[in-house]
Amino acid sequence: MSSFNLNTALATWRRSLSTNRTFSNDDLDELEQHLRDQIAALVRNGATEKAAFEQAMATMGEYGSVEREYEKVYWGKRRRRHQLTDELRWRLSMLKNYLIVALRNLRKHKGYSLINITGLSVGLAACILILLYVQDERSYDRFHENADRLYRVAVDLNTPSGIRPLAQAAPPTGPALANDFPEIEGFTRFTRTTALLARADQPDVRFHESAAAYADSSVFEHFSFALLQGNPHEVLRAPNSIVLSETMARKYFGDADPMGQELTLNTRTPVTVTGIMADLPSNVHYRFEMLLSMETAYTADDEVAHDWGAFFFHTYVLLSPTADLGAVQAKLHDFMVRHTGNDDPYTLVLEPLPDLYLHTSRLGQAGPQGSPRSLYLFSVIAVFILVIACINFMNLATARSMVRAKEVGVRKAIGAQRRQLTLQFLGESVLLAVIAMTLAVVIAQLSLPLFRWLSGKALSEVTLLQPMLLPLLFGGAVVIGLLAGGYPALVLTRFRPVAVLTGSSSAPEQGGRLRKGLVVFQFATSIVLLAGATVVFTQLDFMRTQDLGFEKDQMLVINFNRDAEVVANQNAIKQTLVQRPAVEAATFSSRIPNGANMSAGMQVENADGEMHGAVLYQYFVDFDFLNSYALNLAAGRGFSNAFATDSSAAVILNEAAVRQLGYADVSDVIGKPYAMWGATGTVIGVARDFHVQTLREDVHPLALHIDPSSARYLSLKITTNDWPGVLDDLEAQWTTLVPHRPFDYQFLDEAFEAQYQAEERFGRVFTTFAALAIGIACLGLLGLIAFMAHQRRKEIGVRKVLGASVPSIVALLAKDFLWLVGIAFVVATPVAYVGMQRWLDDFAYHINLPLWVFVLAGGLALGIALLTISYQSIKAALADPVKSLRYE
Amino acid sequence: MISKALVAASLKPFILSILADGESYGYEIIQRVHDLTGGQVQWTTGTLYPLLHSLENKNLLESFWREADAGPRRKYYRLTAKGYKALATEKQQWLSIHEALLKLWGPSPTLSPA
Repeated sequence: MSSFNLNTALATWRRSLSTNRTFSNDDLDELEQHLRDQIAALVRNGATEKAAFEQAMATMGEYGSVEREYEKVYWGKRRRRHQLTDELRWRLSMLKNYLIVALRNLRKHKGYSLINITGLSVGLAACILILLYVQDERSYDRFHENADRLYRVAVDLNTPSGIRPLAQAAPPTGPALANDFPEIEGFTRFTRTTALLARADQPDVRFHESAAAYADSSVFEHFSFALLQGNPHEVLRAPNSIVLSETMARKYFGDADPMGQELTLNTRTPVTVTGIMADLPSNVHYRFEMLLSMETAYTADDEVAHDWGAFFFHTYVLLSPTADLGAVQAKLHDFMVRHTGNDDPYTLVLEPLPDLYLHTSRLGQAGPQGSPRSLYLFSVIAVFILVIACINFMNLATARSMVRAKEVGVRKAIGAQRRQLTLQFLGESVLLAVIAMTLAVVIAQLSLPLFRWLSGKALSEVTLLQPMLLPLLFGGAVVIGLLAGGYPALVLTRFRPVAVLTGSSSAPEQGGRLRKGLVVFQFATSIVLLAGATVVFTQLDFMRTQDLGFEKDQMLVINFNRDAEVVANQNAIKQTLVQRPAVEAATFSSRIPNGANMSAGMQVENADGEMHGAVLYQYFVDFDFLNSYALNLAAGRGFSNAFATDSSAAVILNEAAVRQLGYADVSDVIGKPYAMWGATGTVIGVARDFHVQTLREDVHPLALHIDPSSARYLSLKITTNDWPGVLDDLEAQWTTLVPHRPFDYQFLDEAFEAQYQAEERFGRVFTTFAALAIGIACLGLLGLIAFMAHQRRKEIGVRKVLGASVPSIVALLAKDFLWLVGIAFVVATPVAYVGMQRWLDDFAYHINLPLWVFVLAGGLALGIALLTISYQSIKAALADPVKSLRYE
Repeated sequence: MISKALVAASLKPFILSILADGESYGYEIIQRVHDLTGGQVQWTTGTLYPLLHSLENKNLLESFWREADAGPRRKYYRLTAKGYKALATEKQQWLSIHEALLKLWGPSPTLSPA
């Protein structure tokens, strides 16, 4: 009896109930008073305090039933309000607790947190950049107010060799459409020109401007190009008007007011500055820095203004808001029949303005085209990088779950429900994801200049901080947190507290197989990307070094834009220049490889003896062209002064042109007649195919004629490497010979190289992101191996004590992971093979996919993984077993 | 001993009836039931109080704390108007069952040996 204290017993009982939120203090007071009354009565009847207490407890009801009964009542409506505030307060304090635990965990496991957050934020930053890139590519021409009503009028030309899709229409098309169709509000035509421009008061300071175009006066009414000065309805109405971009205005007039100033065009025509426009935004498919009024060069009275067969006007029409596109298109055939007087005219196609940059493939585009396939590929890469980063997150979290199992056990033992634990862990991963996203935005911001160089895109900081993007990004972070945290939360909350806390299963191996699967996925993706990058660069190298069938090195080209004076004096110019020591050969021609091509229909007798019509690229050259460009002949002979007919009635075809005619042997075409533009003659030679376009394209049928009067380019074959000396000398010569034109030149090999810019960029971006992907994957691997080594430190210690060597322990640790990389290699190779084969199919001339690419990618991945693993595993193997075993 | 089910069913009419005599507190209610039934009906504390609270939630009872000059603070319960109505209904139901059973068992019921 002395050992029993009623008050202590009651206090203990009361505490046991007070942990349950169901009981308020009043409830406990009431119950306690009841017990006291009951015990007092029993003691009065002679029972001991201890027996009385025990009997009173017995009449309480079965263990736990009191709580249950109270809980039932407590969800009654009257108490609910109290309950909810209690609930809220409790939840907030739990939230605080979760947050503290999460932050403590972050701090306590710095390495793990660093790997997790770094990997995720780098991955996210890469995604943000790709997102910006994709968004920018898709934004072309959408800023125009009338973007949904503006259409480009393009032409599908029926030729004997199939449909030739042209981006440009004939000059009368626009005006006639606007005139005939009430649904079409107006038209705007552009035609490019290269302008030789000088201030009227400084006629000797001339510039060769290639970003110039003649345009109809409606341009500033239909398109939303910002006109800073001048009346949008008037600026291009009068002949000899010019609108300059701000940059151009500054170039010519400095800080002076450019409005109303006079410039001299092509040394003859005076033009007046009537307006200043803002520099074009980067996402415009038709780029120009100055616009000349259409009437300056083309008036409605010109013969060409009525020529339905000359396609050199990029033509845009504005449909009225109520117009039905389908109805307009349905009437286009009759329209063409009416105007051309031809029963089977070519087809007009209306293309929506926002599609022009990405989604059309036509000849004679207004500027560089975007590639939807690249966009698609980049998006896929972005998703893969994100997934790889998320996998790190998941893997490290599940791996560490063994450590956190104790925390889970304790929480569960105290009464945490699974739902609460799930929320806790999801909350933690969302917190991490949000931190990572914040970092990612900063990283993306900082690496924008680098990415601009990589992608060749003028992405501005403004695009990153746009109001719509940030909520999207952080919404995305929450989703990523939930996705990446979902599985770990599931694993962690499943632990049985008894098992975890008694230590009977100190390391419940959960999700091991899944983790391995995810590592395989990461490395397979990395290997695919690595192989892809290698293939891109191998193909690029192939295209650069491939024999193009002509000499592109050491070739300097001057584009004089058919300047009449140069054409008239071409013999004198050529004679003078070719005598310079550095000039081996010189030739005038209408076209050069890699330049814009001109095609026209011509008829040649085919193998069946019939005249076969086809559209061929046409080159008008002088007698030195074949030699200067080192073109080879497959049959026949080259042009020669010795034959009088060569300058008017002779043509040299390339092999592609001859193939169309069906001859068994190319030499069979020699001497066969041809007809073109009303003239006739004979085929005198067959040139071996040479690439006038990139290796993306097949060699197109081509014909060479003698006609120096059509010359536009002067090509010089240079023999020395003393470029500064040569260029100075040539410029001096040129200035004496052609004083009115600046010495504007380009190197043919550089120009050819520039054609592969898109591929080069693609390769660079691809490589960068492949490197990122494998970097992030290795980061995850680093975390995993470090964790494994820690888990097995006792085992390692025991092995060392028993005499295991360091290499054998390293092998023990590394084996599992290298095995995974091996599986990844097997999975990745066929995927990469199929994917890259499809990419290569875009090129008419491409490498045969070499097997070493995959070996290289796999070897690289393996090597990097090995390096990653070896550091940690060697560290673990070298650890002193005394330390790891001391605390057993 | 009376069966658990019957005890449970009789809880509400007992409480309402006892409180109809005047305000009371939990321990007293249990004591009165014990005395009235000669110990035949034993309520556990764990069932009584939740039921009291639940009846209070339903506005059949109201509770208040009474500080005694000498003695502990106790929570008292008394019937509300609604409680009196509920009691009337309860009474009606119990009586009709009681009468029906009486009819079955004849005018002078002899209790079978326990």
